[in-house]
Amino acid sequence: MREDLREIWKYRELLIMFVQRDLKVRYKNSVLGFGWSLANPLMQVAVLTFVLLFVMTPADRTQNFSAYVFCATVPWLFFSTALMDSTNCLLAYYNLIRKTYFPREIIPLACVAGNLIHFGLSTAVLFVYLAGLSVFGWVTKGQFDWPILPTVFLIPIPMLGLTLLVTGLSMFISVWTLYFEDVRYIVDSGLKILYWLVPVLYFADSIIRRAPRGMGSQLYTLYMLNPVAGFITAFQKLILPPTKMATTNLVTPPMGSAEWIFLAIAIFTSSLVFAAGLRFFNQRKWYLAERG
Amino acid sequence: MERQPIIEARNLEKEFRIRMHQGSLKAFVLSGGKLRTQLVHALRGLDLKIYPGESVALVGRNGSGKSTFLSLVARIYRPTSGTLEVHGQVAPLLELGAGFHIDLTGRENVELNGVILGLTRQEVAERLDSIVDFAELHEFFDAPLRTYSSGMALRLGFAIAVNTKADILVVDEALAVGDEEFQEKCFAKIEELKRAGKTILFVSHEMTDVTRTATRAIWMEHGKVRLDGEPHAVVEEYLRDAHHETQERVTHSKWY
Repeated sequence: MREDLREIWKYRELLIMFVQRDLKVRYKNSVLGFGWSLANPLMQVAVLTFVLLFVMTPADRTQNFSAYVFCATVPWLFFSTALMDSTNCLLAYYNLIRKTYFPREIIPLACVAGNLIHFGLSTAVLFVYLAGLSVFGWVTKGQFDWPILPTVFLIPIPMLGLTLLVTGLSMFISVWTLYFEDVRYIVDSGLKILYWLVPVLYFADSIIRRAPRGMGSQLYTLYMLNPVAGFITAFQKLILPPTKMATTNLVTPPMGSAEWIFLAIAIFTSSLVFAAGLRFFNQRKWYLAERG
Repeated sequence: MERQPIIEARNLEKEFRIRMHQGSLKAFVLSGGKLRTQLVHALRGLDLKIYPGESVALVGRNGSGKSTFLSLVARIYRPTSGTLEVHGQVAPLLELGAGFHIDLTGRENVELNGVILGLTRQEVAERLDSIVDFAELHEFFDAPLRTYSSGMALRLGFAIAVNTKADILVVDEALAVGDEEFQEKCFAKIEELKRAGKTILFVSHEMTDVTRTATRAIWMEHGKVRLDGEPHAVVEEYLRDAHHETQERVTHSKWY
């Protein structure tokens, strides 16, 4: 394993080239270029906010609801896009795999790294949006609320954890798609289901209150054992302050000790997935070129 | 003192598991997790030493394991058993073109392949002109690879392979798609590399190429070395055997 890591380090320049190539494809082939892909989360949040606030008016709606949706959408898009990209990454470079030698890990790693950079940029857009929101509030209501918490400097923790998880999963997915073409559709469906099981369109805290009597905390625990839910919740709560829900007057709790524990569990789970993924890939990598 | 071989194979074996099904999960589940595969024994105990500066031609019928051996030298596969030691950087040119990405332009492919073959990006940039010149692709250099003909892809692949710092050039039947003029140019380049002390390992079905370029020829059969020696002698034996077999088959076959 150490030998393999040294080999990857030796080919780091190639890794950088793959990442650059990835970003170039993502941003070049469109009129708006860079802006287009950053506009994607913005538009998604705009649509979601519109539907949720004016069409469905859920009990969970709060002041500056769009900020909370945006905050959860950014890590979710990183997770889902990176996994979808990983279904195609080995196939896209298959000709190179069959004809030349380089550490095969570089391909899925580059795929994740490209998405991670995009994650960083989307987070920057998120901050610009939050700043814009408070300026807007200041102009219209005359009172200046700065929404971003000082704990924002801790968001690298959930970001890193999510990256571990995504890397581990893409090691599995990229190899599986090489053998079974339908893995792509399974991943796609899985992500669509998972979307409803992570707190993007609602607050994780609602789980406690909505659950049948007495089951709330158990259900919440179960829900938060999903590392993706743990990371998204942490990401959101580290950036934005508690907020009061419109109809129930309940306030979403801040990042408390329970959430920190769930974050720790998520990081632990992700590390396991990461290690398992690397191991799996390492065992299979020499057979990738032999796929009949 | 004996010279140190640059490539040394000892009892080298390679088996492939060929999938006899389509890549769908349905087939996998329906077969109860057991998919029909066929084992192909491509190399069966190959022993071979190649020394620095040699120009070795591999001859033999299709399926004798020549390409498998070249792919093993290029580290595309790992041996099933036995050992293969390669001391030096290998520049492979396997089948049509090198490892190209069809959506990338010629220039991007050169950069990618150069780095894969152990150059830094700076070194690739320095060699870009001589690569384009050699490949004669000026106006197509910034077009995606999918617009290239097989001849153009070959020219680019060869141009990259001979412009790296690699010690060993591995060429697999690729030259067959080039036109006469380009083939001449390639052989001139190979002569130049030979003089520079590089090791060359190539597969060819063109016996005149073998006798002209190689300093040593190896006839492979059923994943083993059948005959190893001076190119003219090996080619003569090989041709006699091929002729003999054809005769045999013609006389023994029944025509209805």
